[in-house]
Amino acid sequence: MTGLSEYNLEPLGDSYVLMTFTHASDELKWLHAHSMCRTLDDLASDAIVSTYAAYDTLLVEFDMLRIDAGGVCHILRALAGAYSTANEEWLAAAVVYRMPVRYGGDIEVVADELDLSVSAFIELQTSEPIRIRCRGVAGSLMMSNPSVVPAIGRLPSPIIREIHVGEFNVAGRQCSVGFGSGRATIGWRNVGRTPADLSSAAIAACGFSAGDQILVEPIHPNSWNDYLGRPMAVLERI
Amino acid sequence: MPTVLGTTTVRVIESFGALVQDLGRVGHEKLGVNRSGASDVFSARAANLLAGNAPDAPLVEITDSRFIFEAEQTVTVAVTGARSSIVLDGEIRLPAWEPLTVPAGTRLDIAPPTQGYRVYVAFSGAVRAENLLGSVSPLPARGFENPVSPGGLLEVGTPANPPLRPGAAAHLAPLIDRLLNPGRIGVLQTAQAEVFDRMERLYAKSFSMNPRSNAVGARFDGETPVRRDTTEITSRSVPIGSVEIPAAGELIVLLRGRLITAGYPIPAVIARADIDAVAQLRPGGAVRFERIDEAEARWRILHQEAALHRLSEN
Repeated sequence: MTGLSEYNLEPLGDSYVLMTFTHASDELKWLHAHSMCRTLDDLASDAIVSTYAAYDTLLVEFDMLRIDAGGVCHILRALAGAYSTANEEWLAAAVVYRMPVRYGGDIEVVADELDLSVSAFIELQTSEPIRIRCRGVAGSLMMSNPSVVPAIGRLPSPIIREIHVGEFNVAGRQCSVGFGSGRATIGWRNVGRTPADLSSAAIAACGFSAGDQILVEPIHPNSWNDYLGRPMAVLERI
Repeated sequence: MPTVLGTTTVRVIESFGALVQDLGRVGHEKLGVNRSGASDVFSARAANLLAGNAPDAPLVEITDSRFIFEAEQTVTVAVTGARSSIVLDGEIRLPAWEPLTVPAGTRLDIAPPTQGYRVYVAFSGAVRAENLLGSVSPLPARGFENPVSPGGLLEVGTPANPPLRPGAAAHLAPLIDRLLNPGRIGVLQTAQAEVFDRMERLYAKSFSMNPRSNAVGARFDGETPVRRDTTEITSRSVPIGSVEIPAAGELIVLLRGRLITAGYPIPAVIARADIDAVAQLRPGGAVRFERIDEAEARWRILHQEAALHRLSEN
């Protein structure tokens, strides 16, 4: 493949451009976003302040004293035009981790909203490894639920609440594992928690890059202490 | 705390929630680390320049409270941001936006602001504080911050440059007036406004700052545009200054402490030059938004940058 054409460019304010990928495949949207992000980073332009690729978007922050939104869009179009599968070689380094999760929290409410039993929800949620799409606040793992899990409503307005290390949260078709604790503004729903070692050292040792996958292993509440503080195991290289 | 050779110390007498800040972290977004840093960047940069520091040096940010310190050795400071009474040793009133000498053994009392919300105090030589990922600013998700607590000591480095001359910041007066009494905040409407009805509401009436605001987001009460649907939006990174209108109808302006990703539509983004003015709004304070274009936004930031550049040339 040479060149990307399935994307939109949208200035957001005076210092940002949002590139949204529109391919029919969620997997390809994500892959294009991250590959383009890496290609843009490789340019090492002083005019680009920061880049962040998520599920299907790439947000580019630029120095408005050096370049304008039109200039950034021009660069992105040029990079998209020269895109090839060689831009995607970074994904070869991805690995699969096993992550124990004790389901709980608001899972009964969430399952009820989806017209599922709790056990059916867990079965769908753990049916296949899920890919890390990006790293969210405090390094949290931002992922997508398996496609068989229906979309889960986000809170109508984000609330400020106490969050805990290892929270397993869901919203829309997404799920995440949080690494931080303390009061936070959040619109996601909590459905469980992992007892795995999520200390800074353990997280740094794992690496957890976008592209890695997580195999969620549901554990019985009584087994919590058996897993507490143990590192997430790398199952395999993809 | 023993004094380190080549440093000055000041003893904090009164402080409520003051923090050591700088301009935050850049380059760690992919690990989920947000920008953070001083909420009012203009005032923070100006304070440091007046004190003879680099514009991004660590300084003290005080939010809507009194701050009193005693100098153990003579120290030069600059106080900027919100309007406050500044009194030396209980009797000598001193001006803001000027380098001030605080002699050894004297106390400087900075009262809670009467206009604006956040005060910045730069010390010549800069405050020394613990650093994480290239910044001294708070990173709540990692439990990291440099609090300025009553009874504690602030360590100040050796000044590399002398403070600016008195009156050096006189040309900033119109910008300071606008910072603390903005009247209308400039916003750039985005294509995502299409998913809202009644977008004119954003510009037609004033909004009132809600007390639940914090460094992550300024929340406003008022008649908001109405989101046409509640389709889930996949999380993506959003700009500092984003105007979020969640389904519940609240209006939230994301500040520099904003989380790295969000899942609500962004119908407008605050002009970069006006974000500091949002950070200086007081709870209950009223503000209006005005729609501007990229050229106007560029003019506003160039005006600010030129003024700060002129200050740095003094």
